[in-house]
Order: sequence, then C-alpha cells, then structure tokens
Amino acid sequence: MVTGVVLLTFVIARVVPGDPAVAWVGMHATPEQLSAAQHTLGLDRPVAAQLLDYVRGIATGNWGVSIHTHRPVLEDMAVRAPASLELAGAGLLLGLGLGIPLGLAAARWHGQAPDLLIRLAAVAGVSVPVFWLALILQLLFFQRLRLLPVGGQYDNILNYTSPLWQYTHMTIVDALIGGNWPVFWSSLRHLVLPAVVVAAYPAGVIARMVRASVLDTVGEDHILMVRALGFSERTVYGRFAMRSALNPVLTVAALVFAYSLAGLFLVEAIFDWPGLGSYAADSIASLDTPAILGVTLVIAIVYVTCNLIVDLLQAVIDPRIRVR
Amino acid sequence: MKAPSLADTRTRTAVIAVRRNPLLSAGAVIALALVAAAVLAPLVAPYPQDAGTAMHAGAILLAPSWNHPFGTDMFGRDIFTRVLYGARVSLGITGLVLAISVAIGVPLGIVAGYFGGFIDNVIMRVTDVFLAFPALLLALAFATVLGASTRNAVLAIAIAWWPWYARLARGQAASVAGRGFIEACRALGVGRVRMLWRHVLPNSLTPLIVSVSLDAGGVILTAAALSFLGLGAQDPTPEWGLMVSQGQSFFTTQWWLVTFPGLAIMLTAMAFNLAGDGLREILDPRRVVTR
Amino acid sequence: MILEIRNLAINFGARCVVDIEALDLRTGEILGLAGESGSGKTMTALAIMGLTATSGARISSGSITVDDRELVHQRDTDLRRIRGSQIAMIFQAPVSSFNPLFKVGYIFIRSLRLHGASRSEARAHAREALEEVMLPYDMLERRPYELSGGQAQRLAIALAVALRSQVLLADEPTSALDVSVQGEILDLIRRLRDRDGMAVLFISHDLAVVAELCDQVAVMRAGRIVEFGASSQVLHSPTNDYTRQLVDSVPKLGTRAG
Repeated sequence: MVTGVVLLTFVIARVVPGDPAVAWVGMHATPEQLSAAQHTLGLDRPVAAQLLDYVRGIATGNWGVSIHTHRPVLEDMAVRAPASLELAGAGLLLGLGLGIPLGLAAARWHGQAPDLLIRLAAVAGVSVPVFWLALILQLLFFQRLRLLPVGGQYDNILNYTSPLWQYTHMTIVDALIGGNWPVFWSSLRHLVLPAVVVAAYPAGVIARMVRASVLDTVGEDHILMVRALGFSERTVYGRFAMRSALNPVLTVAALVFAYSLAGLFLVEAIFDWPGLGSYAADSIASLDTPAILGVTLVIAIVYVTCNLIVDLLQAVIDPRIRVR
Repeated sequence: MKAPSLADTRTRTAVIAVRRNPLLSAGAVIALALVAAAVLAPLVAPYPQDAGTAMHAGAILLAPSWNHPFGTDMFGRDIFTRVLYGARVSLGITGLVLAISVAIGVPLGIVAGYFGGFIDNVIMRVTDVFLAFPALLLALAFATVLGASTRNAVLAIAIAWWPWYARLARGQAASVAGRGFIEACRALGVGRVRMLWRHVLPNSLTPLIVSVSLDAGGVILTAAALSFLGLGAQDPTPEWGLMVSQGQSFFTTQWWLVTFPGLAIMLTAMAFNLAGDGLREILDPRRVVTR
Repeated sequence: MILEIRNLAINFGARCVVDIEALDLRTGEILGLAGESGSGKTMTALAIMGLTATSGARISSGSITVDDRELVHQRDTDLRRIRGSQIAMIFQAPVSSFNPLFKVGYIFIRSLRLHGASRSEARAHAREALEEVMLPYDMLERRPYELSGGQAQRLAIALAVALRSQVLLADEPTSALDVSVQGEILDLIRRLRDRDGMAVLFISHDLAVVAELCDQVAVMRAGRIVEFGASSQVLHSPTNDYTRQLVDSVPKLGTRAG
C-alpha cells in the first residue's frame, strides 16, 4: 500500500502544471541556467529513472531539496513539524475535553433541554467551515475585543527579552518545561483560537458518538444491576456507562483527528502558524514538487499510523478483543 | 387482517421519528428551504443580475440595509442575491459530486465484494491508497492538476470521494453474498449480472443511502474550501466559499462580506447533517420504533 | 412481615400494567410470583427497588413498605441507601448482569464500600459470602465472560449475602441456566432462607420450579394477582381457571424464555 501511495504522489507531482526548474532558477534565468537547473533537479532523466531515484531517496532519508527554500525537504519538515504537532495535539485534547463531557451530559439528560442544545452545538461544530470559523474568531477576539492575538505562535519580541530553551521544539511545552512564563503565556494566548478552530469538528463528532454510545449502554443489563446495587446516577453514567462507551469513542477520535489534519492546513494559513500546513501552502504556491511530495507522504504516514493506534487502543480498552 | 407492509412500518417510523426529534425536523425544514431557494432564486432574488458579472460603482461595500439585507461586495453586487444563487451552485456541485462518486464507487465496490479474490484485492488496494489521504487534500491535489474551475472542482472532489463508497458497497456486497438466498439463486442458475443488479444491489442500499445523505454536508464543506483556496469556482460564479475568500481582504471593516456566505455554508451543511441523521433513524431496520 | 404491598398501581404511559391490592412477604419466607411474561412480575420487583423509571413506567399510587418503612415516592438519595443493602435483586442473565469491562471483584468490593464498609471490612465480608455460596475467593479476579451462568448467579447471590440484605428479589434467576445448575441455585436460596432468615420473592414463569421452592405462591395475570395461597394448594387444586391452565401446561418440554 505504501508503494501505491508513493506512486500516486509522484504521479500527481509530475502532472502538476508548471515547470519546477523555472521555479528553481526564477523567471529571468538564461537557457543555460535553466538546463543546469533541470539537471540538478534530475528532470532531464527519463521518468522511470526519476521515480526510482525518488523511491531510493526516500528509503535512505533523502527526500529531495525544496525548491522554494533551497533546503532539504526532510530538514524543512522536521523544523516545522513540532508546531503542527502542538496545534493538532491541542486541538485533539480540546476536542476530547469538550466532546466527552458534553456527550455524557447529553446522554444523562436525554430528551431534555441540555440534550437538544448539546446536539445542536455538536452538529454546528461538525458543519462549520473551518476557514470561516477561523476568520470569524479572529474578527471577534482580535478585532473587536482585542483579547487575543491575530496570528503567529508567540510574540517575537520575547525572543530577545526571554529567549526560549528548546527541548521538544514545541513552544508551549518547552516554555512549560523551562519555566519560561512570559513565553508560556504568550504562546498559550496564541494557541487558543487556532486550537478551538481545529477542535470544532472533533468535539462535535465525539460528543455525538459518546451520547449515542452511552445511550446504547444504559439500556443493558449490567447497568440495571449497578443501579439495583444503589450506585448514584452520576456514578452509573460516569463510571460504568462511560467505560463501555469509550471504545467506540477512541476509534472515532483517532479517525476524526486524521480528518481534521486537512483543516490544519487551512488554519495554519489563516493564523500564520509556522507548521507543516503553511509549509505545504507555500510549496503549492511555488510549485515546489519535492516539498509537496514530502508533505503528502508525511500526511499519508500519519493517517496510517492513526489507524494503527486505533487498533491498539481498542485492544487495551476492551479486553474481550484481546481474547479474540 | 393484513400484516403491515415494510413500507407502512417505515412510514410510521418516519412519522414517529419526526415528531420525536425536533432537530431532525428543523434540519429537514432548512434543507427544503435551501432547495426551494436554489430553485426559486431567479424569482425571489432582489437583484438577479448581480449573480453574474455586474458592477455598480456607486454601491460598493455597503453595509447591510433594507435595500441590501446582506450588504454589497467590492463590485457593488448585492450579497443576498448572490447567496441565494449560491444555493444553486452549492447544491448543484454536491449533487453532481455524489452522483459521480456513487456511479463510480458503488459498481466497483459491489463487484469487488461479490466476486472477492483477485478482483477484490486489486480494487481494494486502489481504494486503500486513495483513502490514505484526507479527502480535502486529495481534492486539492486533483484540482491543482486539472485547473481551477467549477467543473474541475466537481471532478476533483468526486475522484477523492468515490473510494469511500466503493469500500462501503464492497462491505455490503460481501456480506450479502454470503447469505442464504444468494446461494439459492445461484443454484437456480441466475446469471451473474442479473444477480448483481437485482439481488445484491438492492440489499446493499440502505447504508449507502445513509452515507450519501450524511456525506452531502462534507461535500459542501470541501467544495467551499476548494473555492476558498481559489481552486474551485471562479468569479463571477456566486459560490459561497469563493465569496468568503473574496471578502477576506476587506474583512476587518466590512464584516458582512465574509459572515453571510459562511453562515450559508454552515447552515446548509447542518441541514444535511441533521436530515441525514434522521434518515438513518428511519431507515435503520434495527430501530423500528414500537412505542 | 418484612415487605408489604398495598394497592400498588403502576402505569406505563396511560396503560395500567400492575394493579396489586395486597401482597405480603415474611422474614424467612420464600414467596413465589408466577405468571407468563408480560404479567407485571418484573415490574413489581422494579417498583420495590424504586427503579420503574428504567423501563419508562411510573408508580401512580399505592404503598410499599419494607421493615415498616415507606418506599413509594421517596427521594432517590434515600432509596439508594436501601438498594443492595436492605433489598437485593438478582436477574435472569447473570453473566450479562456484570459489566464486562470490569473485574467482578471491582463491583463486589465497590458495592460493599458504597454501603459503608471499609476496604478491609469489605474484603472480609466478601470472603465470608463467597464461602457461603461455595466459590473460591479468587473468582473475584475474573471477568464476567469467564464465568459460567451458574457461577455468575452464585456470585450475584453472594453479593446479596455480603451486603446483608434482608430481602432478595429474584427475577427468573434460573430460567437461563441448565437444569442441573438450577438445582444448585435453588438449594442455595433455601440455605439462605434457613440460615439467615432471608425473605425471598421468587419470580418465575416456570411453575415446576415455583412448586419446588416456594412456600406460598401468588399468580399474576395482566398485572393483577388472580390466585394466592400455599404452593401445594395452588398448584394441585387451583381455584382460578387461568391458574389451572398454567398448571396444565407444566409438563411441557422446553420452557419459553421468561
């Protein structure tokens, strides 16, 4: 399957209109410079050979050189990946943190006002266009209320006043570890809006999933038994029903997370977040084939990994699956 | 006394579901309103000529008012009109995308599921590769390759979408193929094509219908995202995503350019999602309601 | 008299599903509640527990007293204290009554602690109870799907014993078990009655079992008690037509699920 992915990305990159060699040397290059560039980029070799080179390169860690940054693609991505990880992670945490309790509440007060409101909010979260939500939030919180910053990861001035020691290269985590509070607060404030936008879809899906799952569970025999033993409704829902509901939730969560990666791309662009998403945007704008290929491959890998994680988690939560 | 037919039971379930579920009813109502808006746009819109190229230099960037409930854009075009016409564009795109994806994906899936073996393997490999990417990114890639236009956007999204239906159809066909009555048909000598068309397909339909109705929302969002990025509909087509993108540079002072089209996208997606949920409740045979 | 029901009416929407004028249970007595499925037997048990809401029904009027304490329309917080500790309930499908994602011991110990035992007290009570039902203590380490029906049911009974319940509501406890295992469970219930004076409301559609185990029998039909008396009398010389029909159908091989 991996070969298929590689093949597909290669084909797409080849078919993308525009000549990467031109992008490399610029519009005003002489013919000699152009053909030199073509040679450097390997474009003058037969297609099959190019593909082979590429595959070999990937296996050995040489993912090509980015045309718009003139640096190795792998290096570019490694630099920008942590920021995306930070945002995606925050979004996922927020999505779970909102979705699970809301879903549980909707199940507990099923049929009543809280349930309807939560379901409405969940559907809204799932249906809202990511780019629009980003813009609206920016308008509200930056423009009108002046509460939160418009973009970037943190105030760059802080680079001078409180330089950050980088461990994980994720700004907020590093700031926390290093006790660098000015940077921590700054990056937190910058993280809030993009994370909320990224979390909207997952939170909606998870809330609905939890609600459905808990409602299903609550009709089962073992719930009647714990009720008959005198446990409070809060415990019945919170401890006993939740456990059964968690398995399907985790399945959905990982898949939904993968889906929201697409949104990550838009969010990074709008909030000027220095991650893989904006790197991808730049690459597409400059027809940077190796970079595009690199990002695409990474995305595919992440997707596949998510699915694997889901399978693993399922076995952990529900021991019956292990038995099978 | 005649036993109630499946259709009767389904109708009764539908009525009960609608009555019990206010959100579903709301969704269905909004969806219908949208379809109505799309169909009636030329009659209802106050400034039909603004749906295309038009230029009213004197009315540029007006705030919402009685004359222009949603304000005007940078060419002086009435946004309310454009939003209404946008319903046609969006619904049209969605319908086409779903039709094409289903037309490609379902037959492939059914063939794969029913025959199994080598065919199954090949088709599933291909769908796996496609499904290794988020739909939006695939659509982006194809749209870049094909060039930016509404028609190409439809194709691009459809190409990204069909593997999902192929997967679904395959699963259904595979489980149907294992059922008793299929063996009986085979024993009676029913031909392959006839088998697929008259027996396997109808029994695989329900989850497909549910999936299609739920997907409508996703397609609308993807189409809007593509146009937002400039890879879909082009001016002067009044596509909602495109309108948001056009309004972006004026956004901080002329908020109405972005707000209303985006709201339209959101409400449309919500309506389809709610209606899809309701459809699932009605069609899922396990949930036939007796109370 | 430990349990008294007077004029109990339970409604499901507009429909009246239970209408009992009087029903009494004494300490150390096994009272059978017999009838077909849908006759309201389980609903009556749920009403005693205050759990009719889980089936969507309501107690519309009447009184249920346990140990002279009124249960109907009490606050849930008060009822919760009684559930498990004063009145215990066991169910038809013992294995699925335990949450499959938890070890059986978790629910056991947690229930004991919920009703006031300390951790060590809980373990001690659990040990005693398991001994009484003749199950090894390490059975608590298992998960429900690892147990047989008989083991699970004995575990459920052990829980009632550990909680020192005075009343046991047994809703078709043997209907899903093999005949040989049935006998063991019935023996166990008899032992509890003899040793601890436990009062048992034994619900079943199987008249043969009821005849074997119960001192007195109440036959229910469509929510009402149509016959009541000593089990030997009710079963050998029933006064009611319906009861006679039920009795006549006893020698049939293969019982319906309850």
